[in-house]
Amino acid sequence: MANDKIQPRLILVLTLITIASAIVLTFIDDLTAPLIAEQAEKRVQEAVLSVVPEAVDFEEVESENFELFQGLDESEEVVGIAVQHQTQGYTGPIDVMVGLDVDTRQVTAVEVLSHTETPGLGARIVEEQFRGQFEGRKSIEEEIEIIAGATISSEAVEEIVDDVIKGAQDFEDEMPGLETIIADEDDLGARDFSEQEVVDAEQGIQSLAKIVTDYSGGE
Amino acid sequence: MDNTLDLTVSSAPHVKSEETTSNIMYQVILALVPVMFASFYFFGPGAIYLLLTCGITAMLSEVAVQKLRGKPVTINDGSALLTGLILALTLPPDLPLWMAVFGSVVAIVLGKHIFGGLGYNVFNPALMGRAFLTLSYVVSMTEWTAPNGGVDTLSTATPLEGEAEVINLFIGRVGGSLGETSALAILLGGLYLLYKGYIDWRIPVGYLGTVAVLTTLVGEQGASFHLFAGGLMFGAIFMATDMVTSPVTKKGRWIFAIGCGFITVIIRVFGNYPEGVLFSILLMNMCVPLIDQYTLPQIYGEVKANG
Amino acid sequence: MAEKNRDFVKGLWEENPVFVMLLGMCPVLAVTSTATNGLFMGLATSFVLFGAGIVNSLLQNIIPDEVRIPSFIVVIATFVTIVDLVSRAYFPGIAEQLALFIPLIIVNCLILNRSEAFASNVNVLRAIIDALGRGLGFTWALTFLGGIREILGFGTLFRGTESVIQVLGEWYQPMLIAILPAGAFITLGIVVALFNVIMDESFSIKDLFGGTAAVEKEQTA
Repeated sequence: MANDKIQPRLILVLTLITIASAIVLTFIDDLTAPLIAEQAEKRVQEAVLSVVPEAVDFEEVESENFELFQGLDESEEVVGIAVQHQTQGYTGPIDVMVGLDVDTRQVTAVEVLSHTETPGLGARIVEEQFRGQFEGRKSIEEEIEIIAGATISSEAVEEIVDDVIKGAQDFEDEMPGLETIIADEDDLGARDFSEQEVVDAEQGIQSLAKIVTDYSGGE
Repeated sequence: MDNTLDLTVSSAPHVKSEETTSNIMYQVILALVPVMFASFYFFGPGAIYLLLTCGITAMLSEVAVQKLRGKPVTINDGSALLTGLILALTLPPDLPLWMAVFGSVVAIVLGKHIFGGLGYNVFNPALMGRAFLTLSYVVSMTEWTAPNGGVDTLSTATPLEGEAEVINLFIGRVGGSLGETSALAILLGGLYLLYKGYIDWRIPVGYLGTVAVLTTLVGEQGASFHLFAGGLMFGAIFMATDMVTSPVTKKGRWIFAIGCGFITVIIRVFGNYPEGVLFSILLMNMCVPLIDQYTLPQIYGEVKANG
Repeated sequence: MAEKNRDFVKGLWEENPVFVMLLGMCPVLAVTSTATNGLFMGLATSFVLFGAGIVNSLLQNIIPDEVRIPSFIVVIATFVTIVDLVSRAYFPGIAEQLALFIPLIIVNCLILNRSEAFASNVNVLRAIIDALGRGLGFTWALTFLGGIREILGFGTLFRGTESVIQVLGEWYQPMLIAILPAGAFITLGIVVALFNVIMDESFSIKDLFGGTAAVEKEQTA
């Protein structure tokens, strides 16, 4: 057969194969897409619910700097905030979900969603023994115990939790559910503040001031 | 394959002399005596156990591999013993002995005989053993105990991560691997080897010089600290100078030494590992064939007519 | 019949894709840090091998020679995408572990090798038997390598599944290098060396200890 006569057949066969492939894949995609979406949804849900123990449901909140979720209880009340945040670890990004209590701003739990740290060393950040250290904290000033041989991975998680705690001030503007709670507290009226409360307030103002300077590009 | 297996291939220069491989090996072991003595003085009998374990395991591995390969057993030339001893001197004093056994087997089998045995190995076998252990048992390999008579009673990190007085670093009263802490003992052995002509002064001078210059420029702790802390002195005198795994030409040795110094400083100052001597020497070992190829003297008469 | 048996056994053993042909080294080195990953990767590759083998064998008279490579690749890519979607829908845990290595099965040279050199030249039955043999050969090799590395590096077998087996006890201090990329090369090298010893029929264990016999063999080889 001469070369020029073959040309249409080449195009035809390859086109047919591609079309057949596309049809098969459309069919398979149709079958699996809902399942894959469900798996992704389930993952987020599990993560949010595991860091906000009292929550039974959650909803995502628009936020500029963080992936922010509200944990809701049965009566749709906000019982906690879950913040997904990531930073660079030793070998790749570490993705962490941090749960915060609404009232006290204490860390309720820390869950590592994904990472690529070295197995046996940095990968131990997922262990309860390490993650548990963050529970009940309001700051990272008191040092956490670092995993031996995995300083960088440990400090990366520490940095995430620190960022989230410091950024917690911002969330108030972004979460409609919280405004009411805070407004309620203001209505309590004048009263004597305990020493701890004064210190807390001062720290809050300082970190707020830091955020403002950070965002305005200052040193 | 042709019948060339009986030929002994050695690196240049091929000077005829009374020296044999075996003789040189034992002279180097002699030069290690002050270092071994210092390690015993500072770290106690544990140092002796480690040295014995590594030395004996290395020799047994050598015999086993040579038997398996059907090669003549050359256990008496001292090279396996030397590899074992050097490996032991780069290990933390409290390392479990079974890890030392493992490291010695790797050094001889994977570091040396996989490549064809003494003279064919690309990498310094002792460093291969140490690299294997460093990557396998990160925690055990980075736990340093304070020496006897030391100022600190407890030091968990290598001095490279902290502060130490230069005089203590020089004498060896700091935490660290068995043989790397006492610059004094290492220098004694090094001077003996230089006097006997078994090592080329260009490598230690080029290596230490590069580190001194670069750490003056970029290091926070200054040149004198970096020269005496960690495994630099031991590496520059006993490991980078290994005849098999260093270049054969003078120019090549300068390049090799400066490269080692450069990589060491990069790892120490900017890297994740506190110590860069191990990987710098291994990386430069890898470049030796290339360095040799480009630095071999030009054939007479082919020099560019320039002046 | 005997010929078909040969086709099957070849892939499983004497022409094992990993230990003898050294094909598809990317997944061999990259995902064998545990037996679980090795097994799953092997099965995924086997499925693609199987599907592509059948289709490419059936289409051998339809596909013109000039466009056979693009055609094979489209067929292979179709099956790989099926594996990718199905594993993400039904086995999300392991799919996440293997992540981008599943789409990379498309460029696994073992599969193109079988389509190009075998399936497109024989009838469907032989193509199926060959695909099964090579697929199982690839799967056991990956699981075996993953098993060795997992035992050394974690002390377990089949981590990440419900039937995880604790092979070595609490006393065992994991050898980290086994599960690092360097460990993949070292383990593969040692296993291939052992495989060569086993496969070499003229080589007996006696030779190992027989002193000069091995040397003579080496010289005459």
